[in-house]
Amino acid sequence: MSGSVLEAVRSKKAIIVCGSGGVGKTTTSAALALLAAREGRKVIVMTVDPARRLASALGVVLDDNAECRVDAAGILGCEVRGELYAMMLNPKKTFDDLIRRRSPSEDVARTIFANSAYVHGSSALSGSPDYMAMEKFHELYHERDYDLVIIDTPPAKHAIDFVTAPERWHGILEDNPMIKLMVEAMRASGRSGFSLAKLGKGLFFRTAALVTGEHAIRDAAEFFLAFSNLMGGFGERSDQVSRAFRSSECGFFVVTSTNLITVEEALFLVDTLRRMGIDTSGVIVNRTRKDFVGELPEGYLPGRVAELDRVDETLVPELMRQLGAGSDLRPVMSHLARNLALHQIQLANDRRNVDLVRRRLPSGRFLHWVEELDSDISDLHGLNRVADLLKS
Amino acid sequence: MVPLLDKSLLINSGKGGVGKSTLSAALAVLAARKGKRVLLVESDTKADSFGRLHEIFQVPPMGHTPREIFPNLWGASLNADQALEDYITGIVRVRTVVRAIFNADFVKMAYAAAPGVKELLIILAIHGFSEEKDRRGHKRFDLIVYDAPPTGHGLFFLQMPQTLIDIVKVGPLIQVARGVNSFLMDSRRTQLNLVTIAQEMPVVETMEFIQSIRDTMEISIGCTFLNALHDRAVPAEQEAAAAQVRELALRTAKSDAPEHRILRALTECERLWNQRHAVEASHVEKLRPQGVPVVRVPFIYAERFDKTTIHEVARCLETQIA
Repeated sequence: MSGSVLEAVRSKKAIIVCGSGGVGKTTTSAALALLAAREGRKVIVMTVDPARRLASALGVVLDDNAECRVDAAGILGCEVRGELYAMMLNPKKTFDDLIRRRSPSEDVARTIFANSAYVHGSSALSGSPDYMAMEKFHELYHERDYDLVIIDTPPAKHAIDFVTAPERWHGILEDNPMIKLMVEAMRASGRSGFSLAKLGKGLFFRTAALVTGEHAIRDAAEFFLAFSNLMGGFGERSDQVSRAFRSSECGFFVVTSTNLITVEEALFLVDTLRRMGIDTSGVIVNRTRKDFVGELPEGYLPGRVAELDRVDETLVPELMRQLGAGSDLRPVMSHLARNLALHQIQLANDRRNVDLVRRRLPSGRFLHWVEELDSDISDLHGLNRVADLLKS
Repeated sequence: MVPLLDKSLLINSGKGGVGKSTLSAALAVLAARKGKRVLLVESDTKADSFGRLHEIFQVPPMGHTPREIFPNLWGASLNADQALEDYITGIVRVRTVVRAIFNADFVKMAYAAAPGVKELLIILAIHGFSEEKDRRGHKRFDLIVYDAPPTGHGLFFLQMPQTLIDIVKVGPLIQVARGVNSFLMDSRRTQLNLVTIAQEMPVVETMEFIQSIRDTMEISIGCTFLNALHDRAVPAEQEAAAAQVRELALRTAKSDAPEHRILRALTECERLWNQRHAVEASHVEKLRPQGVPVVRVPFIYAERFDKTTIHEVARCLETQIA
């Protein structure tokens, strides 16, 4: 069990960064990769971040699916012992590459690319980046010589989608009796001779044809035939990924913001992972607020939003008197005091939410929070500051 | 004023965590208060997942069948399985046969296998609700507000009807797909709105999303909701006074007296606030060239968004949306 972010970054072979949308997964993933490189590892971070911000933050032009070396030492002007690589996943291109790699010949690949069912099917599958991310992860993890692979999990309706992808797609592509039936019928009849009669007179197919039309069934069968010919070994790969996820060489980092809803989602994610036999290394709470006042006597600042107006009766006049400030400063002091009080209320809530994580997180997992920076993180220097915060 | 409330369907999408559900709920409440019969739908919920709308309205979890949750406002949490059953029943017409089909596991798997089918079924169901008439032949709902899946999930659900038209070519499904597609692409009836916060990544993603929508489909974009905007720490007319306070804090920077510590905290907090405002303003500026109307929603602090906060957001929308 890894006791800290740093320990995991030093020892794991893969880190899967997951969490709900908008909590800073991409930034965290990149900063973790930079930290790993600083610790002397050869690391790659993979993202499907559509905003391409990671690329600009890393100071590289990321071509789809290309593994780009980031000159961290050069940009930061300090020693970086390891090697940092970044990759932007293009799901559609990954699919095409997969077909190309697994086709027996260039001709077969061309036929498939021209098949209308493939064109639609592949762009449809690209709509589920989790599957292609899984294929790519398999490649990076099993076939390359990186010490550490960091995955910024793709945006999904459910944060768990990437993790369940191997089983889900295995079930869909390999064990689906309907698809098998269709593929068998296609094989037996050849493209032109395909007819529903050959699919048997089952209730399902008759009804399906009634609903979608015979045409659609044939197109689907064509697509799945192409698929089954080429996705050979898919089952083996998905099994390997499933096993990798459950091994101690792979760490799951759950990222959350301080907001209660995302905190609850993060805890739910930890539970879900555990039910699937996957151990969470720890939770990273992003963008925690700065404490501007520290310890103050009880009641000095209002504790609830509904009491914000109170600052005008208590804190402001008291402060004005102590400072000997002129009454012309009163309106501005009132504004500033309300802002500060609101900030501190939010901070108190953040702390409660972080405590909730601490209480509910199984023992031995790290809980690490990263204080919000004054500015947007838009370059490697910014990422380096986050890396420092992750290391501490 | 951005004209939205006279449409039949408003689809709200955006990056995860930017306040889509809150905005959708506020929009629905605003329309309902103006006397429209409104249906507010969400779709991306599973039994073990987080539906948001019922939490916001503080009502029990919602199902596939619309339920009134506020005067003139119905809520539904759409479920693709139910939508598929309804759809097939409409064609096969014998519920027991439909059930028999459904009870076969492989049928469920087959439709889970084809990406986008669930999204299509949700859109079918929404289209169905928009056509529904009451006994007197009046439309049951004037407006449907759809709290749609996040943009990260792609434009998929909007493209599905057209994709079907392209690949299926003939058959009963095509008629349905055509009907849904013309409903979605009709700017008088349907409008797509984006929700974002004024941070770099969400804004860039919104811009790219708008561009890809314009490149690939005819759906009309109503507005971009810029959510959770921070104002300056103090109003502009008090800037001179604020400078005096900062000056005072600087002069007492070495003092450890509580009042001086508070004074420093006030100015540090002010700095954070203004910085946030400036960063946000620069991101808002980026959206301008796209020419999509922007609806601004100020930052409202609440631990949980509930009915009270929704009304507050609805009030902010009222002056900008017709």
